[in-house]
Amino acid sequence: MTMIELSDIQKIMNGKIILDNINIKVNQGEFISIVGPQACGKTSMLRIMSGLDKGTRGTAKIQGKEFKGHHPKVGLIFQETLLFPWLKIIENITFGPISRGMDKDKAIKEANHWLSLFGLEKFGNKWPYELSGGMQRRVTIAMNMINNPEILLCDELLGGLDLITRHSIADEFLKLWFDKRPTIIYITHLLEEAVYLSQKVYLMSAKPGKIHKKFEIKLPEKRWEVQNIRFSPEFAKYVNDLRDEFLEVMEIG
Amino acid sequence: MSSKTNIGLRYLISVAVFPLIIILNLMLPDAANRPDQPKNVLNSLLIVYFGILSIYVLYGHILNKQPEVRVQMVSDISLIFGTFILIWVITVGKLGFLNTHSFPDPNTVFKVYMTDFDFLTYESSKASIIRAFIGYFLALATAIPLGILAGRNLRAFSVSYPFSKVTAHIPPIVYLPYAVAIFPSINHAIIFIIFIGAFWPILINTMFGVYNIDPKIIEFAKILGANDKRILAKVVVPAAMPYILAGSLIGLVVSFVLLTAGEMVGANAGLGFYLMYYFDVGYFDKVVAGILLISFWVFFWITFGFDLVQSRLLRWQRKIG
Repeated sequence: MTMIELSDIQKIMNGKIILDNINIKVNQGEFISIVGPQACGKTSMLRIMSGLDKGTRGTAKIQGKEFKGHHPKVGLIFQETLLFPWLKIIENITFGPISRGMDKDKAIKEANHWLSLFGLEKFGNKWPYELSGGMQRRVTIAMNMINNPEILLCDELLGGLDLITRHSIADEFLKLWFDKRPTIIYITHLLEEAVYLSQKVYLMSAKPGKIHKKFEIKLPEKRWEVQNIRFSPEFAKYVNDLRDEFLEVMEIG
Repeated sequence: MSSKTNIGLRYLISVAVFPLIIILNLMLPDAANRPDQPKNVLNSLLIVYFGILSIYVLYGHILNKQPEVRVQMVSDISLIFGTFILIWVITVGKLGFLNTHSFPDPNTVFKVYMTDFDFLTYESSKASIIRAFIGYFLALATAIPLGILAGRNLRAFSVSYPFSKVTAHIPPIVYLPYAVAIFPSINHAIIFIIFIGAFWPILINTMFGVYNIDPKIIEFAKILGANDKRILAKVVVPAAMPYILAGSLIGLVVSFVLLTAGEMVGANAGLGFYLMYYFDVGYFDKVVAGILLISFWVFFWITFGFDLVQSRLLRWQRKIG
């Protein structure tokens, strides 16, 4: 079943064509990644999917229905780690549920569940600045996931983190996706990360932003269980194919 | 360890300057051209200050319960303050430098707080503080909501910005004569100019604080499900809080400036009035006592009112130092 669909989207900003002829269909429960050179309109596309922006032309549909404004089933993780710095960690996580009318005690209970899921039980009463970058990323994930979004849009979720933290959050995130099965659209510039996480990778080209090619990644779903999957030949092949095409796209740009 | 002892010694000096002043004040005879003054008021105040400072330094430095930087700051300031009093006591009071009439010695000045306790220390302070706070809180209550409104709405912002650039820079004191004419009493007129003076810095800072909020953080709140009311209370106001507080501090200082200026022009109560009254009859010891009391109140409200509120409201910010 198609969860989210963009058809013939064009986006013009300040007289420049940012996105052109974007057609993309994401099925329910899929994990897809979008990669592309800088300024190819990845984030603009994500904003259209989130309902924060509208295309100059074309339609965006969720579950077959066109939508206006922000859709309650959509969660979004921005590129910068966005916590509310003036709220304690627990208040950050309960922000969504309480905004959606959940009882405060119940929200706190659920938030604690999420904290313990990420091993952050002790940090509920801390301020965001007291947490490391990786912990803040985990809190951002929890802030979104506690709302049970059917679609989760992520913009560079793991950007700016060290390798070890990146890998461990990637695993946690993948497990979470496997358990809850939201539809995830994931933007990254790290090809290896895109291959590791997703079932499909869309490569975009720049100026104007277009979808250049789709790659299907046929690796087992429970990738965290496969030992050294990142060093397996299949994995390397996917990354290499993607990189070759990426370099070509860069030259066009 | 040794560096710690050295720091301890430095603190000791800044604390010890106060008993030194007390001893010199008691032991040395007053200058011949100065009539003998009772020394109890100045000495008592110094003893109280000495006590508080010793506890603070002891608590902070020896027991490590206060950040080093802050203990250092407090003792540095105390040292400067103590040295000033020491020089004043010795040169003016004991050696008899300077003209007796225009430059009263510290014992004479501090005695005023006791002899004029009702008029100066209590009544005048009370009248002034009430006036200042009515004007200031009126300004807070109107400027913050209006600033939020103007900062959130592009159209309102584009109108208020150029407008405030002109109006905010008119010295509020120029409204005073006219305010005296249109308001029922001078008291109202002073409150009005305090209000106007505090209003603009609070408004402009709030407006900019709200206007400069990263739109992404508001979008994020929206996506998480917050409605406009909740976004205002939980995102906009706290995000703009550092700016709001910066404006409020300027407003508070301006309030006191305008308060005393206004009172000197024509009030019949308050610290400014006290000052002007005794200036006219030439009691400079009382004038100096009034000046010191005004500075004390400004210091008091900023340190024990404003700074405490600020550190409470901004406790989510990473502390520097």
